[in-house]
Amino acid sequence: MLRTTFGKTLFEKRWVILGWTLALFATNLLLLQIFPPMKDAFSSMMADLPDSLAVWFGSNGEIWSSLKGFIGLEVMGQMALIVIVFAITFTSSTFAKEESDGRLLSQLARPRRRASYFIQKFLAIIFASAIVMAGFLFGTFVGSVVLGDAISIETLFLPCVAVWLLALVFASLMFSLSAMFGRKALAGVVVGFYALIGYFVSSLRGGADILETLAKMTPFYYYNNPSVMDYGFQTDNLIVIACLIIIPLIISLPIFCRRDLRTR
Amino acid sequence: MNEFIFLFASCYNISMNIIEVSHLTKKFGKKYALNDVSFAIKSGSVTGFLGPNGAGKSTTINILLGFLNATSGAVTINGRAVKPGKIKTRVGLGFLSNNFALDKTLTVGQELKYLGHLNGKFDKTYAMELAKRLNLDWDAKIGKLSTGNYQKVALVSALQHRPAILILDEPTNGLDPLIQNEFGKLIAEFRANGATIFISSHILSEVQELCDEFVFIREGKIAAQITKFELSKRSGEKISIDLSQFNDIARKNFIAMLEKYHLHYQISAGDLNRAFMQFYEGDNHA
Repeated sequence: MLRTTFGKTLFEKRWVILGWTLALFATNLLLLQIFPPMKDAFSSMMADLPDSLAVWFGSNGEIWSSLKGFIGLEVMGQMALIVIVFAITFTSSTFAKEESDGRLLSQLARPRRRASYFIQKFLAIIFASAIVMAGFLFGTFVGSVVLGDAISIETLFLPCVAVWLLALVFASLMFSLSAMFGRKALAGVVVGFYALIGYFVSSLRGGADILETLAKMTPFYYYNNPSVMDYGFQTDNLIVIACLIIIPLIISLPIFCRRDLRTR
Repeated sequence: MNEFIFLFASCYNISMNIIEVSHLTKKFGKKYALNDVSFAIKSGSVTGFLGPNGAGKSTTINILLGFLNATSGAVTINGRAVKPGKIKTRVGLGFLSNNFALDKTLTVGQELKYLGHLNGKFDKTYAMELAKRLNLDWDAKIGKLSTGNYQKVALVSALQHRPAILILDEPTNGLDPLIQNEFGKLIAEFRANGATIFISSHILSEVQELCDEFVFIREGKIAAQITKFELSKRSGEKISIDLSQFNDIARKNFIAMLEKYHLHYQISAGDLNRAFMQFYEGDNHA
């Protein structure tokens, strides 16, 4: 594993990856257990809420009447934000931090191309986030089995892929900004702000036209709209998400290969 | 009298420049970090790069390694232009900096293995031998090492692939005196094996014994580039040189170089295995 930057990154971060995988497995498993007692309470509460407030929870009351609906909205919606936090912090510690603390220089002082380092690092992030998403997927599956309302892995797989791609959008943005400017804090602030604002704008988009328009500028609008669990991937949405992942990398790679590195 | 060991086996190969810095300028914003810097490093030499803090030593080295782009001017290593995207200039090159950073979650052996593979191949036997010489625990977690031991890992990582060129940026910072002594021995061994060594420091006495040439930099400009002999002449110092490592050809070439530079010397042979040479400001005695 220690022969390549890809392998070394995964080896170095093995406990972080394992920790997040187990945490998401447990969180999703437990999150599903609140569904039965909450089901009735949510249904009656939703019926009493005015429409403008109902958008916070999802205006379709039927969503709360089935486990599948609950998973589609709560697990794939709320928990996606947790996966995004993982993607941003993992990218920061595996790539951006290496330049700020000087470890990048100790590697690039050797006959190693910057492009190779860049690509292997992002592949490691893709791979690590896929492992974490496996914990997310199996936690959800096992949670549904425990409830006696098993939802197949096949049904859960696509929405989990959607969450994974959404997380990769933010990982790509964090990675690209770090690669272009070598400033971990700057990249973290920009991406964190975009994620937070994007999440709220997307959550509230039913409340005002301006929010609906603004929501289209965030990846949240595209990753699970309409519900991937019910309707599968929409090609145009998938293209937008893929572009949001790939374009920042394409822009930042040549800049990273040529710019001055931070030498402290 | 300042006595020192001076291995000069490669003096006959002194004409070839391994590193050439030509009219190098580097600006950060409007400030000049380097201004029209030019010097050359000969094959097989040990060159001290001296100057006060902030003089431009690290900036020059960072350009040599491709970490920074030059604003203007050129740098070549082994005749190849140094550019950030090109890796051939870093083949067979060892680099050590006092700012060297390592992965604290790995053990010494794991880190050296990874960095060894980045150099092309990992010679575990040799890396372990170096670690043993420096009294370094192979299985220790890097995050738990003392500053001195941390610096030793960096030193082994710079030497473990037997580089032909060594670039050392303030390498002795943080090393205890015993390890500094071992460091000096390692440098002498690499030099005896033909390596070209470029050491930056802000303290002349720290590298004086290791080096046979000096490049002085001040405020981003080269102040002087002189040989050890010229330095000793300027300071009026008398020095002695151990010629015991020299074969006949090397000794002849060495004497010829002394003549070429019009240096005054005296050879005293008390012990057949040790011939001492002294430089005087006055008459030449052979």
